[in-house]
Amino acid sequence: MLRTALSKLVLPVLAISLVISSCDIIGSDDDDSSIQPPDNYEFTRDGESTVAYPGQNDRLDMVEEMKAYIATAHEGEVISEQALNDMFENTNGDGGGNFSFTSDRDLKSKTFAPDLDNNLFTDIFADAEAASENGSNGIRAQDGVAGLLEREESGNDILVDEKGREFTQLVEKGLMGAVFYNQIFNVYLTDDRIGPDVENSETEEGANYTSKEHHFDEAYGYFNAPVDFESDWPESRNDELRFWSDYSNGSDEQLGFNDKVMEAFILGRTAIVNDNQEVLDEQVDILYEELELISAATAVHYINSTISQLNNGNTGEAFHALSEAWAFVNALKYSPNRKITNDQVNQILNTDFGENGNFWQVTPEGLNNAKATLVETYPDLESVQDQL
Amino acid sequence: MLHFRTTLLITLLLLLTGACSSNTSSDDQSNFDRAAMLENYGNNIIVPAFESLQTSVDDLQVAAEDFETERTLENLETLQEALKSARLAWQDASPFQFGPSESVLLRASLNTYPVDTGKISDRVSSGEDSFGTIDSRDAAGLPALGYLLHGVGDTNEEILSMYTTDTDADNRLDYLLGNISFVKEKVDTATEDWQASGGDYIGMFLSEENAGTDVGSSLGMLINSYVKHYERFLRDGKIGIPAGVRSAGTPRPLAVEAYYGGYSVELASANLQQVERIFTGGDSRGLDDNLEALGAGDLSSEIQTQIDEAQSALDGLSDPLSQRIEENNDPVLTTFEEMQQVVTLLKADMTSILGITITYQDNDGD
Repeated sequence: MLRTALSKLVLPVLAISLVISSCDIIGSDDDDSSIQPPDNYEFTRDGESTVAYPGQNDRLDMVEEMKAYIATAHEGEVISEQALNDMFENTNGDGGGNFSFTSDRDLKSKTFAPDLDNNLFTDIFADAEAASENGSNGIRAQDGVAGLLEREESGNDILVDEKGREFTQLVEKGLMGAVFYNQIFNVYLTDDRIGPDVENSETEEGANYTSKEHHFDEAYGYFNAPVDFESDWPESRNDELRFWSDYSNGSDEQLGFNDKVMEAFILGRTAIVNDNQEVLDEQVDILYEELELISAATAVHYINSTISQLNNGNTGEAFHALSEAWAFVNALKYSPNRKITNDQVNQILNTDFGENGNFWQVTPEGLNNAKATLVETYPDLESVQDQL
Repeated sequence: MLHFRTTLLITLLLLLTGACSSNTSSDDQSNFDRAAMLENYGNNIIVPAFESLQTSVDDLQVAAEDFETERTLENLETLQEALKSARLAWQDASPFQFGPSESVLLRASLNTYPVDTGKISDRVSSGEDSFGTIDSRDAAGLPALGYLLHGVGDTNEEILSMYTTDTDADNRLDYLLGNISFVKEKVDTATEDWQASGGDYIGMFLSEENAGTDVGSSLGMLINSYVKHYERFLRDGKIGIPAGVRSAGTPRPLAVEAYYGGYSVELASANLQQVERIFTGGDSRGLDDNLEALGAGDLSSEIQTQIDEAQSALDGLSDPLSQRIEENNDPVLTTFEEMQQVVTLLKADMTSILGITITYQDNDGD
């Protein structure tokens, strides 16, 4: 009896899974030039790699060094608005002498235009200098006063603005959104760069890749994962992850981001080699969805951490976590396909995280409200919202 | 036919493999009824702890209203007693800071100490009666009530006068009542969220879906909250910090839990009793039984013995703790050491046998 029931159930399932697994073969052309998706993000032409994204690596390095520079204020150093602007614009190719390397790229010209219009980052740089002067004079942060605030668990100080927001997070994670996500979402994954009209048969002069291939690789470069990145990533290799790939890994256990994102990048890049726009578009849709979800999941993680730290009585730890949450919620606004509305983002940043965005006024109701908005907007988060 | 059988076999194999990998190791190792243990925790320990806290806070409010109506020495004493009962009841609920309690910041709201007496006085004078902001945390909750009912005068006659003849008498009483309403609102919300008749968090806590040992499981949350409470809020908060172990050996007698009421040892002792009760599950299945079922009976006895050692060291101290710390801190430091012994046993040894991951020390390192 059991066997019959089981076979009735099992056969259709098996049939379906056979159909699915054979799709790859049916779907591919018998054209000699078409390739199968590789295991890793590795593509070649005439035996040479076609993948390169040095410009993205440079910009990631710039953000890293800007963060490290701001963090010197945690030790009571005064930091300079001018230096931060020089790093942002990459003055003289070495950030005005503040970068440990030279590059002909910069962050500012790649920043989300409305953020530039609103002086989002330049204002933060000016505030950071003023706050660091407070910090060097031993002024401690409190409601309405920028200065140093102790993170209770490590005993180390962080520099926060008059609303309790930590400068390193606003800048580092802020630029992860305003530059990295902005470039992925509004530049490299758009039809303008990887659509049907973009050159994909001739390689670029002096390069081994077509324009279309290269544009897609630049999107990958902003995600910046190792070529063999995958789910269940070994902890021993965490130092190979940078920025977004690191946060993908942060919620991988709950949401399987690493495999999903890598598969979409690999299949999308394969589709470009095979000149299959339809498959490419499908993968691009997945990338928009999953990358947005990484930011939302990370925001929920930091909201949880904020609640927990507030209940521990650790204001510094809570504000650190809330500064992270602030930037990951803010990053949601950069996708043109975003599920969340700008009004909801503003509500979270400027009301739920404290009236007028003032962390000193944050309440558990506000934090729970922000979390509920994210979970409602991104239903995939519902079942894991307390584990993130 | 052969083909059918083969596919059926393969599929069954696949199903079996799939089923195995979703099982947790401890399930395979013993027949211990973890669901029954969780039910004991949820229904016999956790929910009753919140319900009796709720009752005692209700009583506290009634006593405060009586005091408002008739500001007499007798009513003041009744109110002081009601506060002590509520603070004792808190000891039973405090280890459960996950889900509903964490979501309303119950610990930070109810039991932030030491209090900022200057801030309380300023707020009383200015008639500031908003509670729940970060800045008002050390001017609110049960320790602030302790100051208001024990610390505003040397004798009860003097304290009474602060509510009758002092220029801020009415403001002070309003502040007291406002603070109690704030506490009550938090406790009511957390308690109702736990109850099946309310938010039914208990239903989720006892659901089959959460019966595993992974990070989001009920046992995972309970043990993380339990061990964290023991380590940071009992060992450190109630004993270690006042004794100076986190301030380079300089004691901080003002940082005891009930400085003004003078019954900090009694509160710590009640809290440690609850810690032991959580370990044993009271009269029913508990973590001790779970460990025994997994072949770790020795560890189970060791934990129990060490908790008893800590309890007797603690009971050897007498109230007021702040005076003990000032007179002779050594027995307090010894108590801390005894309590410290339990941490490793619970946090490393117990969790590794139960297959529970400690997540509360997640630190980004940035």
